Amino acid sequence: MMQNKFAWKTVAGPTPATYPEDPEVNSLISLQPQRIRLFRVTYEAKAS
Amino acid sequence: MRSLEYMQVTLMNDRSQGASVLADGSIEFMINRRLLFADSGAQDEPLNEVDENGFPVQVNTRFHMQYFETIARKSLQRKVQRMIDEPLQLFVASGSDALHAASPSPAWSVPGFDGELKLHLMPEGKNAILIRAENLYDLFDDNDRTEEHTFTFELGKYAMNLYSVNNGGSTDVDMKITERSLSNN
Repeated sequence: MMQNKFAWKTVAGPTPATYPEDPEVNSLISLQPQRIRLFRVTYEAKAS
Repeated sequence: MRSLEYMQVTLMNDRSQGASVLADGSIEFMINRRLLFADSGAQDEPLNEVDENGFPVQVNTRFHMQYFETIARKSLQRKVQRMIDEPLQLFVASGSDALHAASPSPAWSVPGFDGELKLHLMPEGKNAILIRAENLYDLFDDNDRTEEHTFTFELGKYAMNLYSVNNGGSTDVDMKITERSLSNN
């Protein structure tokens, strides 16, 4: 069944764009022009 | 519209329109379509909207024009687009004194950065928030100057500042940051 699947162009593979590395993961982030990134931040009070 | 290699004029307005250059040095904008007679096209009646006094519909439009040297100044096209499409909004619960109290987000809460950054904050639940960071610089503005307009942003510091300014200056909290897909999956 998978052999009969039509090979849409959108499955060609990942984008050839290269993204700059973050100097510090999830803390100091890099943004090149037109780049949008989304982060979830959760806070938890420190146990006293 | 560009000429002389570096000169550019950008004309922006706040609604959909048609535009063309019928003669050198001129731009024609079509803001409102009005036909006094049917044009034998698909429309079999004239598109002639009038008010109760028979006057044509009035369309109020705000135009922004920037005429600049692309090597000396930045294009304001995307900035104006954001101002029109997504004006700054502040939502305050009914009965809240937030509008009278001190600013909830003082200038120092956003660490410095060297670029054009748009931050979008979306509360997700108690003690959870989504931060959407966007580099507004448009590659359309120039040829490939990707590296020049890539910058870093202290997301961790900003996230901590968000907590601090809303909790009386406290930073006594464990914070966890995870990157999400753009659709938050």
